[in-house]
Amino acid sequence: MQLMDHQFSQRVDQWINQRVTPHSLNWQRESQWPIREWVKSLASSNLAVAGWPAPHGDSDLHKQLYLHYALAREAPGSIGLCITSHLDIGARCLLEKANPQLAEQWLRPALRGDALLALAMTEPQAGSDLQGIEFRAEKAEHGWSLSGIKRGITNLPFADAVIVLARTAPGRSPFSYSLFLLPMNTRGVVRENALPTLGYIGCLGGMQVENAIVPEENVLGSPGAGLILLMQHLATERLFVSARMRGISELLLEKIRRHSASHPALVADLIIQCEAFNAYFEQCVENYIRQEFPAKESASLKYLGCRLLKNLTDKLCELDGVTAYLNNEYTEIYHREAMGLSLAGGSEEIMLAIIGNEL
Amino acid sequence: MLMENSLHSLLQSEISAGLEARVATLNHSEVLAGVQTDSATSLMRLLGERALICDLVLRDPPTSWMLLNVHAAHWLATRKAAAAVELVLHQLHTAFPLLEQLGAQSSLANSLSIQLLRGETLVARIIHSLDLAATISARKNGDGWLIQGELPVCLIGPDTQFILLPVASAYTGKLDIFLLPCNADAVQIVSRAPVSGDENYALARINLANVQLNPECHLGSIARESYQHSLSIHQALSAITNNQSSKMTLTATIEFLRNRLVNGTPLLKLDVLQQRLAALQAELSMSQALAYSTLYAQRTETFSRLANASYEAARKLHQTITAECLHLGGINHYRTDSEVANSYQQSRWMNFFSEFSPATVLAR
Repeated sequence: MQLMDHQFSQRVDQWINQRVTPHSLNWQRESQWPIREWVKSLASSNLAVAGWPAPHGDSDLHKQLYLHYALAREAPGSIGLCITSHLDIGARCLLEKANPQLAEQWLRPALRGDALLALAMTEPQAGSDLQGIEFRAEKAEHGWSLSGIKRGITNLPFADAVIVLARTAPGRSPFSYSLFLLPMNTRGVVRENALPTLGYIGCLGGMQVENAIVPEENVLGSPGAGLILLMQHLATERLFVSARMRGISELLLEKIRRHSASHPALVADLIIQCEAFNAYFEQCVENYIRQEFPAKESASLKYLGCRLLKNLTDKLCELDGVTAYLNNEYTEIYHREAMGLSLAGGSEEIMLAIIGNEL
Repeated sequence: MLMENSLHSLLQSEISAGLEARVATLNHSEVLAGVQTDSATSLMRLLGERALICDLVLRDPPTSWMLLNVHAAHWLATRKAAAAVELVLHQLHTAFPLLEQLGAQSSLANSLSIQLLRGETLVARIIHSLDLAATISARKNGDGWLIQGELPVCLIGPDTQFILLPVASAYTGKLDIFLLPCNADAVQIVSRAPVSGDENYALARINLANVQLNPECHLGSIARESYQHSLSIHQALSAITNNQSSKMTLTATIEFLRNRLVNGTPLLKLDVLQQRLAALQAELSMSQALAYSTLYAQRTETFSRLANASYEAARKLHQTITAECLHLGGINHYRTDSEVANSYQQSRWMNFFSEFSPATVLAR
């Protein structure tokens, strides 16, 4: 990955080597994710948001992308995904959309690791079709009353607050939805146990909410603009998820090449796919920085990353033989996670629908 | 060298004055209408008339060079004659740079490079020339040279007059470059298979049975890396041509499906079709990104590898897209006068022109 500040990348690598790598497989086996400690440690090492806009960082987006890329390579499982979801999906959403009061209350603690965030869109009956969500918010005397169920949300088993998409008007108009910050200790919020998932074990959860009241200032952006804001934010999410996919894909390719050193023809095609994805990723990053990163492009990037990752994990499974079927071996872990990442931020079919709508 | 002295000073002012405008003429239908039959010579002359050939081989400043080549590659992709296009790209990106380098060693190379720029002569395209270089023998024979060997696949046409033959030197580790007239007695075309869609051009197997050459036909010697670099540039630009052809085919198919109704609904609105096209569109965007980033990397160590990867990616995608689009257009795209059918045929045919085996290069 292109990163001009080599000192920063060395510091990230060093942090991962010291704080994550020695424990990574144990955490994986026990499904224990000390995410709060990681964020605190990243923050105290000045690594958490070094690439954020001022005053938090120096606006070098590549630094943020490198952080998630490197975490994906070196720390399988939920570790990297939880940090990405907290920092550059959850907290970044607050940075861009919260009013100053809300930002002061939640953003600063979030960046210190004192508060963990999640972004909740998916529901038991609505994942791909966000306009079909049932989670609703109604105007109440002192703000908004929220009710409904969210499920399959990264970080929800341990989040302190959730950015939640809720319906604020009937019908499927894009202006029928709003975004709220919902503290998990709000009366009426019941956290569910983590879902028993194939990958990212222990970090995907749900909540049941009934008449939870949040104040007016907890609305992110304008009421009714939630879906539009979320769509814009999803482009950001897909970029960061793609950085993770790039990290994993390069790692897998290295493993595949070691397996097939005497048969280069076996992997030539995968090398080409990786080169192509990397080139497209860099192009997308440049476009994102120039603020010319349309939904179609973010969807293409995500779709291509999913395809690449699945191709690589399938090939590694073929080459690894029985090891690929042993619990908590790298190949087995990444095979499960490739499927999980292909769902995060929208499945491949949704990506194709986004691209297809603009043909 | 020719490029840095005469050409550069000759064209520098013209480039800054009207490069964009002249590039734009390439897309002008009036210009294209003047060429009834796409032949390599007419394409070269057309580029020459627009004073573009010189620019196309001018690598300084690199940005202009790249921009122009990309435009030219796009334009060449619109031509129906894949064989002629392949030959033109070969002249621009392999033959000319080679002759230009040899210009300091040979006056014949110098004059030939100028003729080539004017579209007055063409050299044949040897497939896998770098690999073959080690299999050809060249030994001094009196004042001249005696050449022996075989060229299993060569692209030739009615306009090709010469073969630029690289021969690996056992002593220097470099490549000796020889100029072989196609009509020399001992240059025997053993077999000749007309290419699909254009019988003027053929893939020929050529036997070099003790070809006696004059001393001046030894144009000089160059480093193997240098030769490989020009082949890589050829690949990188061919990737762009392939991508552009893919793009045109995809656009034509999308347009077709947009206008074709089933039960009053455009076929394009059917998820099953739309998603197939969306997937191809995404793949094409990625292939384009790779091709362009490869050109930017031409002065780096990874260039050869990237050029090969971008060519392979674009070539395979071209095949996939044209096959899908031929299918989606039904009988309408199956007609010989269909743009999609033409692209489909050419994508298969152009399969030959991968200069290196991808596995070999990538493994290296």
